[in-house]
Amino acid sequence: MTGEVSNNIIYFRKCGDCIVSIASDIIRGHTETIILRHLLDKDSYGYEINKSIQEKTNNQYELKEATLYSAFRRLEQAGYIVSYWGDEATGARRRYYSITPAGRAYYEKSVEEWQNAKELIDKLVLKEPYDVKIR
Amino acid sequence: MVNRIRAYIEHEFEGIPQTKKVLELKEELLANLIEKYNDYLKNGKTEEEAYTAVISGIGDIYELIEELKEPYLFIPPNFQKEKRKRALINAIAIAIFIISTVVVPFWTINFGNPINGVFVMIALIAIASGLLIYNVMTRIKYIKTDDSLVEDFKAYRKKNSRQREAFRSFKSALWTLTVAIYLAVSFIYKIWQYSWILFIIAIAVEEIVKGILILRSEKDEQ
Repeated sequence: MTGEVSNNIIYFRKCGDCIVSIASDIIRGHTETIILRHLLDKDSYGYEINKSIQEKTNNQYELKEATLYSAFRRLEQAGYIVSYWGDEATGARRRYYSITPAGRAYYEKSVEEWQNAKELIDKLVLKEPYDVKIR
Repeated sequence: MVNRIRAYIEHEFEGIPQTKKVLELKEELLANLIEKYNDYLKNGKTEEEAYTAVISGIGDIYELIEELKEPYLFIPPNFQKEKRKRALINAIAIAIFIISTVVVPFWTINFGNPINGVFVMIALIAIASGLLIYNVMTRIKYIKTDDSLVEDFKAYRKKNSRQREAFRSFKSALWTLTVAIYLAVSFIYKIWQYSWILFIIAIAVEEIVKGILILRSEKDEQ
């Protein structure tokens, strides 16, 4: 990733792979929070969640099915989500997931943890309070 | 192409017990992959491109499959205490059986009249038999460690063997009692020429109870 400083704003030039490979580890570590965020508004199923991640990251990032399903299982075992089979008019039936109150609480806590981590790393890594923008 | 995706999934999941959880995961995976595939087609990809993209997007499901193999074990609490209690009940029942054999001579020596001794003996036998049957019937069923056909079958076999053991206990109690009653009645009322019919009756009782058990187990399975 190349960067250039200008007026206290660091620009990161997008190089397709670069952001994906560096961010992907971080994103994968927060898969559960991402899923919970998606389920806050309404119930959803695997592919729909993955599709929304693609859209939100401008097609730069998508989760592997394996990662997604591992996260689903962990969340379900912890009681943060529940699943049920929907009956579709056509095609195979989908497995929908729904967030539980415990899940909402865990989501709030996770977001707070992420904010704290972000602040901490910024303090440790950045030279001065820079605004970081991605071009 | 959809069938090719299905075949790929089947191949990935080969060799692991097809438990309910596994089958559900396969179904969920397939539904999502097929929808993804169709979306790729809508966006202009060719069938081959879409198929490759879908398959490569799955990632490493080996870890997922490994997690699925892990059964959850439920050990009943107080297992040891339970075992000791049952052993105690069995021991007491056997002791009562043995004691019942000396009741008649003992009674005759001390109280003269053997009839009551015989009744006491029968009563003791009944108590001991009841204890044994109670022990067998209250045994904890085989706990399923996994939702699978294999476990279901094992549980079914265990339940059946439990029933058979209960029935065996009942049979031995029935026949012991029959002999005791036959001897008692014959000695007391001197009706040796008729009392043998008790054994015929005992056979009938045994068959009736067997029939009831079978009907009950059929009702359980429904």
